[in-house]
Amino acid sequence: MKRLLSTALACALIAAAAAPVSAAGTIGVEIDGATVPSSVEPIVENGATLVPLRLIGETLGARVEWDAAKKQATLKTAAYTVAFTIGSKTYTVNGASKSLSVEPKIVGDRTLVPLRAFSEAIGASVSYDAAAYKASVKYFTEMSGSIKVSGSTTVLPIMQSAADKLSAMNNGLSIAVSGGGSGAGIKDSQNGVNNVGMSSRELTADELATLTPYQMANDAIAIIVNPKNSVKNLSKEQAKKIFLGEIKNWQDVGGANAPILVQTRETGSGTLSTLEEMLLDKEKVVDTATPFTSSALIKQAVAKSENAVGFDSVGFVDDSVRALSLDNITPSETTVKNASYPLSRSLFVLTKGAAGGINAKLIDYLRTQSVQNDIVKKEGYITLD
Amino acid sequence: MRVAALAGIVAIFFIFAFVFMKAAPVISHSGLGLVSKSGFDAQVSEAFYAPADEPMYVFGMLGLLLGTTLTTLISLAVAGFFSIGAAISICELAPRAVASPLIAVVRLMASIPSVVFGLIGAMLVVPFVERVFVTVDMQIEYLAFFQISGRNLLTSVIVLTFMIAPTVITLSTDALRAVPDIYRETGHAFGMSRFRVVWRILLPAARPGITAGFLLGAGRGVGEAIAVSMVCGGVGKIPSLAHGFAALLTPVLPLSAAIINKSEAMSVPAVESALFACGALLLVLGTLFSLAARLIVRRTGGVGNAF
Repeated sequence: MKRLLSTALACALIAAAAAPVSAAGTIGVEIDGATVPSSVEPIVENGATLVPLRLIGETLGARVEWDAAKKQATLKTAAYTVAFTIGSKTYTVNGASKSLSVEPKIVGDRTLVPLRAFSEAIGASVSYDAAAYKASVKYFTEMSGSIKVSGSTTVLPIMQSAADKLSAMNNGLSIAVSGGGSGAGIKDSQNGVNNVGMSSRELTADELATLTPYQMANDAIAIIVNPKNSVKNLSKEQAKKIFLGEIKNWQDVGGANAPILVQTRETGSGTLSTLEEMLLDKEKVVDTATPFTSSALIKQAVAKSENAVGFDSVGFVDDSVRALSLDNITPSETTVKNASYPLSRSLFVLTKGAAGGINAKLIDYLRTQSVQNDIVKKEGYITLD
Repeated sequence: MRVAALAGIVAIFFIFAFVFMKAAPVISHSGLGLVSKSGFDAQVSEAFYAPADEPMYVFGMLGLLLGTTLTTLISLAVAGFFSIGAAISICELAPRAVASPLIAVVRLMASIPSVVFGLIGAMLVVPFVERVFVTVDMQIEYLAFFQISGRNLLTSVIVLTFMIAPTVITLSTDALRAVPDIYRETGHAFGMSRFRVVWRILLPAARPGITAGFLLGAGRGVGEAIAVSMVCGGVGKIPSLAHGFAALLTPVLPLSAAIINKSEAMSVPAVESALFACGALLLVLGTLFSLAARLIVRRTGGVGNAF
C-alpha cells in the first residue's frame, strides 16, 4: 500500500515535471506569413506536428467534410482530395493510398492531422523553425508562372482584385485578366486560349464533358424601387410583365395610380443579361426603359424618382432604395445561399479538365476566407457559405 | 509651313480612312437603311447576343441622326439669337467698364470642360425640367411611346445652348469689334439711328465672323458627347410632332452620346463597327455643316459686299 502510494506520488511528480516540457513542445503554425489563431493548440507527437485540419484547410481555400460514420475527414482543394481516417495510419490523396507516421486523432471536437503529410499532399511546402517552435506553411506565397483568365464580366471585379493581391505576394507570378462574357470565357477554356475561365452561368452537360467548374461566389439580382413606393412584394410574373412593359401602372400591382418608370442597364451589362435570362425568359427589357451605364447610376436614378423601378446586384442595395420581395421571398444572404430567392445564381471559375498547379492555387485562393470577406463581400456579391 | 499643312491633310485623310474602314461592315450591310431606319438600341442588344458565327451587322441610325441634328439645330438657334444680342450689347451698348469683365466671363465659360456642363445639367437642369414640365398624367399618357423624365431633348438643348453660346458670343464680339469705326461714323453721318447702324451696317459687315462662330458652335453641338450623354435620356426615340409639346420631352440619343453609352457592348465586333459607323456619320455631318456654312457665306457675301 505504502509502495503503491509512493509509486503514485512518484508518477505524479514525474508528470508534474514533464508538464513544462510538453508546454514547450506546443508549436505555432504560420501560413503564408500569417499566424493562424486556433482554439485547439497544435500538438507535437513522435516528432510530428498535428494541426486542426478544418482550420488550416480553410485558410488554404479548401473545403473540409466530416463523415461521422466512417470517422473520415475529407479535404478538397481545386487539385487534390485528401482523406484522413481517425486512428488509421493510411490516408488517400486523389484515391491513392499513402501512410502516416502518426495517426490522426480527435481533440475536443477537432480533427488533428500531421501537418507535413497534409501540406505536402496538397502541394504546399512546410519548414520548421526549431528555435522558435514554429512551423510555417507556404502555399499562396510560392507561385510563379503566368495565368490567363477570361470570361464573365460579373466575376471579373473579384478576379481582378484577387489577382492583384496574389501578384503582390509573388514576384514571379503574372495573371492577365480579361472580360468578354461567360460565353467567351467558356469557349476560351475549351480551346485552351485561357488557363482559367469565368462564368456567371451553370455549364451545360456538353461543356461539363471537357470542363471542370469551381463555384467561387454567389450573386443575386434585387428588384429595387424608391423607398416612398408603397409596393413591397411582386410575384415573379408581375415583375416579368413590368420589365417587359406589359404592366405600366403601379396601381395594377397594388400601388398608387402612377406610371411605372422602368430603369435598365446598357447592353453589355452582366446584371442585365442575368435579369433577361432569369426573369424575362430571354426576352428584352421594354424599349422605353431608361438605360444607365453602371450599378451606381441606376441605383441613384431609382433613389431620385418616386415611380421608378430598376434592378441591381444584391450587394449594391442600400437604404437609398428598397429591394422588393419576389413571391414573398426577400433577397438576403440566406435566401440567396439556399437559392429560394428566384433571381439568385452562382458564380464559377472553370478549367479544361481538372485544375492543377498555379491555376488550382488561384482557384483555392478565390475560395479562402480572406478573399470571400475582403473582396467578394466588398464588391457587392454574396460569399460561398 | 507647307509640310505642316500637308501633314495635317494626311492626318485628316487617315482619320477618315480609319473610321470608314472600321465602319465598313455595318455600312455595307445596312446600306441606306443606316440613315433611314431606326431601332438602334434594340439592334445593339441583338448584335451583342448574336452567335459569333452569324453576326448581326444591320443597324438603323435615323433616331440618332435626328437626335444630333435636332439638339444641335435648336440649341444653335436659341444660342445664336441670344449670343448675337449679347455680342451687340457688349460691343455697341455697354460702357467699357462693364463690357471688359463681361467678355472675360464669356471667354472663361467657353473654356469650361464639357463634363462640368454635364454635371451641372444632371444635377440642376434635369430636376428643374422634371419639376416644371413633367406631370404624372403626362407620364402615364405617353408611357406607351416613351418615358418622360428630366432627361430628354429639351434638357439636352438647354445644356447645349449654354455650351455653344460662349463660343458664338466670343467670335461675334471679335467680328463686331473688327468692323472699322469709319463704318459706324458713316452710318451716323447719314442720320441713321443706333439700331439701324447695328442692323444695316455692323451685322452685315461682321457676318463672316459671326458665321464662323455659328460654325464652331455647331461643331461643338454635333461633337459634344459626355455632357449630352448625361442628360439626353439614352434612348434613340424619334420626337413626333403629333405629341405636341411632349415631343420636346422625348428622350433622345445623339450619335456622339451613343458612342459613349453603348461602348459597354463594344467587345462584340459588330457593335464596335456600328459605333464607328456613328463616328462616320458624325464626320459626314460635320463636313456637311461646314460646307453649308461656306455656301451661305459665299451667297450672302462678306464684309466686302456690305457696301
